[in-house]
Amino acid sequence: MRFSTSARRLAVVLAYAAMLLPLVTVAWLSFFAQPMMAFPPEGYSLRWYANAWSKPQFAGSFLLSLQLAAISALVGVGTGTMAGYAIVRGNFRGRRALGALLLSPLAFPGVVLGTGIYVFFVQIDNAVDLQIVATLPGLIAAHVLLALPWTVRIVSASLQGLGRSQEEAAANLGARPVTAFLRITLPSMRSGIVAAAVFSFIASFENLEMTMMLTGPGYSTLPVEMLSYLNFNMDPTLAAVGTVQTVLIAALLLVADRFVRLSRVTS
Amino acid sequence: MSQLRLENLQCIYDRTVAVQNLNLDVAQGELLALLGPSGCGKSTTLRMVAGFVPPSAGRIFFGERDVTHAPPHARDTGMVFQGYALFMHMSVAENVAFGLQMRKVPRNEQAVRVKEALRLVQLDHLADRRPAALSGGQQQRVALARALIVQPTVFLLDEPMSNLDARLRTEVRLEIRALQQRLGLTTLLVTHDQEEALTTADRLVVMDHGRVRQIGTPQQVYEKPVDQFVANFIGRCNLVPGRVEAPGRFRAGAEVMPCASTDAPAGSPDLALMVRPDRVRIGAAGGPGLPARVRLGTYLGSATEWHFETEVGSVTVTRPSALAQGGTERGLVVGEIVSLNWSPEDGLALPADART
Repeated sequence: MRFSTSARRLAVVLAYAAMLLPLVTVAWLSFFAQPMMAFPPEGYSLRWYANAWSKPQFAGSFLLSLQLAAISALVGVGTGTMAGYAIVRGNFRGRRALGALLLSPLAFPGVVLGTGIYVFFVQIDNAVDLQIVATLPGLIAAHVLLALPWTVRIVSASLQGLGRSQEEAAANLGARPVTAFLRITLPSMRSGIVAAAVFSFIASFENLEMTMMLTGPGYSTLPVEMLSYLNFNMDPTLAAVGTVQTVLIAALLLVADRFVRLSRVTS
Repeated sequence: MSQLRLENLQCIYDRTVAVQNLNLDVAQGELLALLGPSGCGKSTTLRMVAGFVPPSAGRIFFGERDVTHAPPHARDTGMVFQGYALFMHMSVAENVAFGLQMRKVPRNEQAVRVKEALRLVQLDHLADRRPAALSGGQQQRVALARALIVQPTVFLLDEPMSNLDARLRTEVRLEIRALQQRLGLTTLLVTHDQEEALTTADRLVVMDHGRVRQIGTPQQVYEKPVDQFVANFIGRCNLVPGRVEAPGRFRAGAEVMPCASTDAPAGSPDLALMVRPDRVRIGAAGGPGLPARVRLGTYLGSATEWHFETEVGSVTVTRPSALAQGGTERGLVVGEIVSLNWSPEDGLALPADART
């Protein structure tokens, strides 16, 4: 099929508009002066940003979310990379099944996953008297599940693209398997691993449905706090928080893209 | 004494026999080419020697040392991979230095030897480039330098020319051969290109379906192929099915043609007379030999290829173009009747498969 240049341009403009309009609208709303979100704005102000930061539930949950996203991305990418390597390069029974299992968190609705994990945590609590719900280790364990599918997918894809011959060449030149992995395989997967880390971080940082089931009073992540704030308030504070969140993620993506070309990871 | 020795080597995977009872001796400094169609087991053999594929049976020796069960990193082979397998995240010099680093060669000695190896392949000016910034031919030379620098016990080349264009291939072929001879490297070359094998190897091993069809010098394999498969695979040939009627007489239908006396039993089935296109002489109509009608002439530059129809099938003859130009041989006209003949020693009665 052939499209004229102007038709193609129009399609591009529409696609960008569909993606960016909601973001721009939220950012715009966050600067409205009046407490009720309504058009047209009566004036502009930064008070909602100040308001968000002054509320302990936002500041605290923001820091918790950052911490949680960073740690679970680290743990998830570490284990996911090893799992991906084992699945692609290993030679054992059940490799495919293992791959499917590690991708399965993507297949469950977040709420279902969260409920399941919650019940599991409570069972453990009952059995060994160890509280896991609404603790950092519990949240990390759950959020590692968000990182795993991304990492296994991306690492497998980049390993398959890499092929075995570079590792064989290293072995041929006298490198033991561990040396070959550290000196050849790992550096060649760098883009894939960075991409997996970025996606895992984002998946954790913005996760609401699953996390909702696993937090407790006074111990909760930013998206969960935002939802509960929304139950009682309709002022633009949430727009301000959302804008900060979006800017942070965009900055992360830009930095990562500087470091490795994310757009080229899958090729 | 042989530097590389394969004893009854066998490889079976997924219940198919990739290599069957392979016995080979490669002398110090010899270049042996494994040649055959894809799936003949030549690559599997090379990978068994490198240690990437475990043999199902048999043994591999480097000199006195039995390496059958040694892991690849402990074998001390230098391999040039088909796609070169350069380390894309390292510079050319780092690629070449890798083998020395693994051998814990002191740093200052590494630097000297890397420089030397790069000079050997004329890449000293590109030492700091990344492989991605090099042409195919240059990448190939990096792969060569990387494998050569470790002074391997056995040098392995896996289709080293297959990613180069035809013009470069001839040049690189000569370079590799010169390097290999200068350094006295015991070398195993895997190729499916018979011309490459003929021109570079000291000896050829023609393989098919995991088994050796023939081992010999390029001359032996070209001049005295053991069967029709080898004759077909190495160089071009005319094959006429028939039988040996009496020593020196090959019968195909109503025609009787001269052939060398062979070991093939007179009555053996599936025999065919093999004559190389460059050994056939074209004589006047009615002269001695096989009557033939000119169907087509193809000018190939240095040679001209003539296709004939005969009672026993089509026959191809190549003549140096210079002969026609110089007037020692007259030109042919399509449709013209001539007679084709050859010296008895150039007609070989060959079985389909010498091993059966």
